[in-house]
Amino acid sequence: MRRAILSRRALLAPTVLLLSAAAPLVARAQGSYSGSLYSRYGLGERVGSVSAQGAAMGGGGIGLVSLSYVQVGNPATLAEQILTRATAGAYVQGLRAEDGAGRTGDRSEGVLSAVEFAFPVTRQRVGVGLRFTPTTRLAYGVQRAGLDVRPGVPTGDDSLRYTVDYQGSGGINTIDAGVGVAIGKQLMVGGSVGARFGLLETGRRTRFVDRSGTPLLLYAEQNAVTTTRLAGVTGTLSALARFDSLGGSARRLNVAATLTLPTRLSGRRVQTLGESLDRDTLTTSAKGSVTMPLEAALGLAFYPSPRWTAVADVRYEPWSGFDSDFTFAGYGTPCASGQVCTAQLTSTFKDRIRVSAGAEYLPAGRSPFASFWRRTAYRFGGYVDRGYVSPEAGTAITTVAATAGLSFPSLFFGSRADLNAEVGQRGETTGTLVRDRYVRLGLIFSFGERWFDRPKLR
Amino acid sequence: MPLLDPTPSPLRPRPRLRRPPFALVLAALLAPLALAACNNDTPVGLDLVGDGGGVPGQVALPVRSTTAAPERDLTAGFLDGDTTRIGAKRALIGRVTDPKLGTFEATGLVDFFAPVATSAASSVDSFRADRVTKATFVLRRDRYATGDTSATLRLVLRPLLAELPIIGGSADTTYSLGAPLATFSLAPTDTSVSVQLPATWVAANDTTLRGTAFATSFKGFAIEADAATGNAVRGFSFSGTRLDAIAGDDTVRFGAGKLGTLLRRSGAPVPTAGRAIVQDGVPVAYDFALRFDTLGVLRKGIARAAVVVDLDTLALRTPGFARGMATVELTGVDSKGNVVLVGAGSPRVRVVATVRDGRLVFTSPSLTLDIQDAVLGRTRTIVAYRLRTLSGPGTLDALVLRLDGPAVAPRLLLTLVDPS
Repeated sequence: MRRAILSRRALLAPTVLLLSAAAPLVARAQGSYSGSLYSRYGLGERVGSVSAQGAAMGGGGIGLVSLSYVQVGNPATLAEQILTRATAGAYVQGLRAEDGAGRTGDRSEGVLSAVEFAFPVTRQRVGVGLRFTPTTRLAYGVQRAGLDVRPGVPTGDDSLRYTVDYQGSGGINTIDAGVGVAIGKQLMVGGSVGARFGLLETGRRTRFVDRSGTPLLLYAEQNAVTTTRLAGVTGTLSALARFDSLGGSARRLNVAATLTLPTRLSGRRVQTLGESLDRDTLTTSAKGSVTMPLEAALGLAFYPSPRWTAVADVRYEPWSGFDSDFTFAGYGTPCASGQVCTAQLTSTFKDRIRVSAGAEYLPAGRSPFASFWRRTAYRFGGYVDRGYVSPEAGTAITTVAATAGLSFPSLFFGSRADLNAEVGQRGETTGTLVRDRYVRLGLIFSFGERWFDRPKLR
Repeated sequence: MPLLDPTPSPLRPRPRLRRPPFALVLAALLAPLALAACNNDTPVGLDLVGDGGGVPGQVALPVRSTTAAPERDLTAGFLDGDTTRIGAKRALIGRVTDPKLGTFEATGLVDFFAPVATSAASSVDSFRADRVTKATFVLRRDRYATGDTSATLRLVLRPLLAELPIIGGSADTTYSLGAPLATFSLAPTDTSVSVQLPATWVAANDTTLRGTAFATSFKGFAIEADAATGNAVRGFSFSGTRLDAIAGDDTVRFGAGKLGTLLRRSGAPVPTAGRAIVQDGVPVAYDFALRFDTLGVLRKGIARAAVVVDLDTLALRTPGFARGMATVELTGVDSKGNVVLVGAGSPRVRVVATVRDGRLVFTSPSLTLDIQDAVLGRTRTIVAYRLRTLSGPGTLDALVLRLDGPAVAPRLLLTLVDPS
C-alpha cells in the first residue's frame, strides 16, 4: 500500500511539474498568431479530436474501443467503460511556411487539444462522457513592411516606414455531452449533444517605425479588428459493430460510423478600432448565422492479436454547401452592410475528405506484469486531408502527414501518458500559395480510477 | 480489448508491477517544450492576404475657418507659464518702432524678496538695527534684443505704487507709478547697470527697507524708456537684478522676486489680405475650426494628426532691424474660447511648434487622440484649435501666417488607416 502511494506520488510530481511548465505556453497559444496561414479562410483550420490512441494512428480510430481511453467523439464507445476517466492534452507545433520565391517563415505555438471526462453508468453497458475540444482554429500572422514616400510632407523625413501585421485568432469550440449504450455484445450506439461557440478575430495592426525599427512616438499604432461571435447547438449519432473470432480467438473487427448534424451558429459581428481595453466600435453589431456542414465518418479497427491493432478511417464534410450571412476569407462578397451579398455569392470552399490509417504494437499484449518498455504501446500512422479551403481556384489545400506515438503505462491501472508526434506538409508553393511543413508533439494524460463503486465484502 | 485488466483475481498472488523509468519518461514528456522556439516576422504568404488593407494614407483637410480671437491670457506682463502664471524670468525695457509691426514701448516691472546678507561680515539683524545710508539698484541684462541692437537705451527708474501680482496678470491691468528716481543708460555692451538711488528716497524708505514686512510693504520699481531713447527693446533677467542696501557696516541684498512688463503699442499695422500676424505680447490669437465630414475621414483610424501652418517668412524681413520669430503653441478651446483642460488643470491639447522650413507643424499624441475622437463621432468639448504665442519667453517676436490659397492655407494633415 505504501509503495503504491509512493508510486502515485512519483507520477504526480513530474506531472504537476510538466503541466506548470506547459501552462504558460498553452495559455499564450489560445491567442496565437503562429499557426497555418490557411487558417485565415472560412471558420479556420478544422481541428480533429480523437482519443490519444487514435491521434498517433493517423488521427483517426473512431472504431477503437479501449478501457484505457475515452472517445467522446464517437459516443457509442462510451458504453464500454469500466473506469471513471479524465483526459487532458496539449501539443506544441513548429511550422515553417515557404512561398514560391523560396522565402521561409518560422512559427511555433502551443495549443490545448482537448479535455474529456467520462464514467460508466453501468459497467460495459452504459456510459456517459463530457468533452471540451476546439473544432476550428484561427491562428495566423503575416507581415507587410512598407515605405511610403511622401516628398514635401513635413514629417521631419521624406518617407514613412510602417509594417502591417495581418492576424487572426480564435476559433469555434465544442462542449459535448454524450451517452453510449451497448446493445448485446456486438453493437454499441451512442449520441451526443454539443454546444458550439467561439470568437473569430481577424485584424490588421499597422505600426510606424524609424529606420532602425523603433516605433515612432508621434504615430499611433492602428489595430482594426473584426470579431465574429458565434454559438449554436450540434448533435452526433454513432454506432459501433463488433465482429469477434474472425478466424482466431483474439481476432476481431470493429466497424464504427459517426454522423454530426449540420450546425447552425448564430451570432454577431463587430468591427473595432483600438486596443483591447480601449476599443471603439466602428460598425453597429450585425446579426447573422453560419451553417457548418454535417460531418460523416466511417472507421475500422482490426485486432489480429492482443499485440497488434490497426485502424482505417475516412471522414467527409460537404463544405461546398457552406452557408453564411457573414463574409469570410474565401466566402462571400461583402455588401455595404458588411454582410454577404447573396446576389453575388462566391465561395471557394470544397468538400473536405480525410483518409487515415495506422497501427499499434503492444509487445506485452494482455500481460500487466511485463517490463515497462514491453507495456509501452508503439503507434504509427498517416493521413491525407483535403481541406475545405481553396485560396486559388481549382487548387485544393491538402495535408499529408505521418504520425507516431508512445503510450507509457503507469503503476496504477487505467492511467497512461501518451506522447504523440506528427510530421506533415500542407499546401504547395504554386501561385500565391505557401507550403507549410510542420512538426507537432503532443502530450495527453489519461487518468482512470474506479468511482461510484459500492464496496463489497468478499 | 483492454490494455490492462483492471480486475485482478483474489485467488492468485498479485505479482509486483515493474516500476517505470521515470527519468526517461519525464525527459520524453518534456521534449515537446523544445519546440517552443521564437517566431520571426515574415512576409511569407502575404499574397494570400492580397490587398488586405491597413496601408496608411494621407489626407490634407483645409481648416473650415480662421478667426482672430482676443487672447485674455496673454498680457502685457509676459507672465510666465500657462494658465497658472508665475513670475516671468525676463522683462522688457525700451522703445522700438518696428516698420512692419508698429511702435512698442516696454516698461519693465520688478519687485523684490526679503533681504539676505551679502557676506559673512554682514547680518540682516544688525542691518535692521542701523540706518540705511545707501541703496543701489542693479539691473542685469539678458541676451534678448529687438530693433537697433547697437542702440544705447536711456531709461528712467520710477517707484511702483501698486503691488505687482505674481499670478493672474491680464492685458487690462494698469499700474500706478511714482515720480522718476533716476535716469541711466544701457549700452549694448553692458551686462549689468548699477543705479544709485537718491538719498532722499533712501531716507524716505529707510523704515520700509529695514522692516520685516518688506516683501509686502515695498512695491518695487518700474523701468521706463526715456522719450529720447534708442530704437530698441532689450530684456533684463530675473537672475542678477537686485536692490543692494547698506546700513552701518552691513550690506544686504534684495533679490528680484517678481518681474513683469507693461507694453503699449501704437501704429498697429494694417492687416494684409491673406495674412495674419501673431506676436508675443499682442493679445491676439487665431482659432482654427476644423471639419471632418469630407474626403472620407470619418470612422478612419488616425495614426497622426498635424496642423500645418505656412508662414510668410519674407514679410518681416527688414535690413538692419533685428526681429525674432515667435514660438507658438496650439491649444484646444471650447465654444466659449476657454482652453479645455483635463486632470490637474493641464490643457487637453497643447502643442508647441517652432518654425521649420517656413512652416509650423503642430503634432502630438494628444492632438492625434482628439482628432481620432472627432472622426469617430465621440463627444468632445474642443471646437477649435487656438494658435497663440508662447507666453513664457517674453519677447516681441512675431510670425506672419499665410491664410490664402488651398495649398498653403492652414490645414489638417492626417495620416490615416482605413479599418474596414
